[in-house]
Amino acid sequence: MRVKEDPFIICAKDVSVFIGKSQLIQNVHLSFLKNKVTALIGASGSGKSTFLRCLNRLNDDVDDFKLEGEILFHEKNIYDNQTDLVSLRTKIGMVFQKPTAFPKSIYENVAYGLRLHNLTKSGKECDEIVENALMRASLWEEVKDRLDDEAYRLSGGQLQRLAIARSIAIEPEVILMDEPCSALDPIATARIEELIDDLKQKFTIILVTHSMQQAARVSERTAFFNKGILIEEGASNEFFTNPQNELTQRYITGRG
Amino acid sequence: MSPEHKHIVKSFDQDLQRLQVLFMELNALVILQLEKASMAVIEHDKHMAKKIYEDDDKVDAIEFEITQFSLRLLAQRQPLGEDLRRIVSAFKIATNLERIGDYAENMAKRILKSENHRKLHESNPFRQSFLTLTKVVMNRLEEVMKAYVENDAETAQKLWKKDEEINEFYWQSFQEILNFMIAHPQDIPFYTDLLFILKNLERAGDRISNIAESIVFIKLGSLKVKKEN
Ligand SMILES: Nc1ncnc2c1ncn2[C@@H]1O[C@H](COP(=O)(O)OP(=O)(O)O)[C@@H](O)[C@H]1O
Ligand SMILES: [Mg+2]
Repeated sequence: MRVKEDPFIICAKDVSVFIGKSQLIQNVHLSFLKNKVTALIGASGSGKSTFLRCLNRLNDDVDDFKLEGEILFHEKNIYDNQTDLVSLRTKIGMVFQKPTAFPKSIYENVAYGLRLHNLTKSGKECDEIVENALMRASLWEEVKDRLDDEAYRLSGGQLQRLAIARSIAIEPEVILMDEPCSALDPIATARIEELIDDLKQKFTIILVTHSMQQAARVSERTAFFNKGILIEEGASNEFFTNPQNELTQRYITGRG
Repeated sequence: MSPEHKHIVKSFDQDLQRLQVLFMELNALVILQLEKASMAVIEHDKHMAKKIYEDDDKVDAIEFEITQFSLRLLAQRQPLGEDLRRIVSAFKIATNLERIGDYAENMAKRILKSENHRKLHESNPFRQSFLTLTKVVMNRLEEVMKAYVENDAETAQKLWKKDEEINEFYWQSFQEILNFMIAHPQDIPFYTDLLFILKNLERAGDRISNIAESIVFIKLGSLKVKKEN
């Protein structure tokens, strides 16, 4: 008997988010297809980052944070009491807007993730994982001869790929990216986009971007947020030529 | 999209207005070419025919300007949604208008080249059919481009379907002329020319229909209401 596989890896069900008295997200229902890129777009302050950070519980430490509804990861609510946060974040990784590096070597920056998640391996095994991650992040050729150099000497685009290498070294299933290209020039951006195309063979990617062109280029699905409300979600190839909602239409054509 | 929602970048709205002005210019010129062609046919006016032939360059020039301008808009504005559909459709609409200009030119060329052509006198039974068809085509063109400027998909939808009328009228005239030719074999060369000229008008009708289709697409993002067969 063949088991029918669920095409969705994460399902947000009726999710509302509050910080103190203000409601940042309102009753969002949104599911994410496995091995696809889903883009979250919307004006600044529309709640994209807040929502994204809920998907691996990065908001937990925010004062007075409250979430209603459920976020199912492989059909299990990640907001259950039993959820092990370290293991959750091993499976759902995050790449931030500002490329960050620890004041360590390039090598250590990638291996750091393994140590953080208690996945430390023997020296040789660790070397292999680091090399592999750097290769998959399309950075290997540029850094293989200087793995012991300080990471901060890398360019912005290289740093962002290093952050991606760090996140894929621990073999997550989902990678969350919050405006990963907003600090990068067009060439570095193109490299990341090419990389995203590659990565989706293995990972599910959820990408917050303020560039609609980027969303159109790299994603299969696009979701549009406005003031904490999910306005419209659909196949990207129709979303940008023929959105159904008037608010989406106005947003993507740059109308006030 | 409701017209009260203007682009945040005002110059984009100005650009889109400029595009419309270019289309109105092109359309006015094409309609003029058709009108002159119809006169040249009726009056067998070779001088007029020559003028039409020469003015076709002007039609081509405006079409080229629209193409260049739309290319610039694509690169500069990176439009999406309805804006994207509008600008991509501009290429198609401009080509269709330019082709209608070509049909007027074809009619003129036929008059210039043919040794069989002569005036279509008041007494000629096909003078009226010819004039009617020309009028219908010119009116339709006027209406369809008005619908374009007003972003009026409903009117465009109607015009799209109305193409059948032009086709039917053409085939009816075709049959009548054919029958006439059988009865008057000595006139076959002249009426062969006339059939050719009518065919150009019928094709212009097809082009107008294409433009109507584009307008529906710009507004609705799909060709929702399918053309009835
Ligand atoms: N810790 C916080 N406390 C209160 N309000 C916050 C907090 N973080 C974000 N917000 C507010 O939530 C809204 C959504 O923010 P965010 O999710 O960062 O939007 P986006 O990523 O779409 O730009 C904004 O109005 C922001 O000011
Ligand atoms: Mg954000």
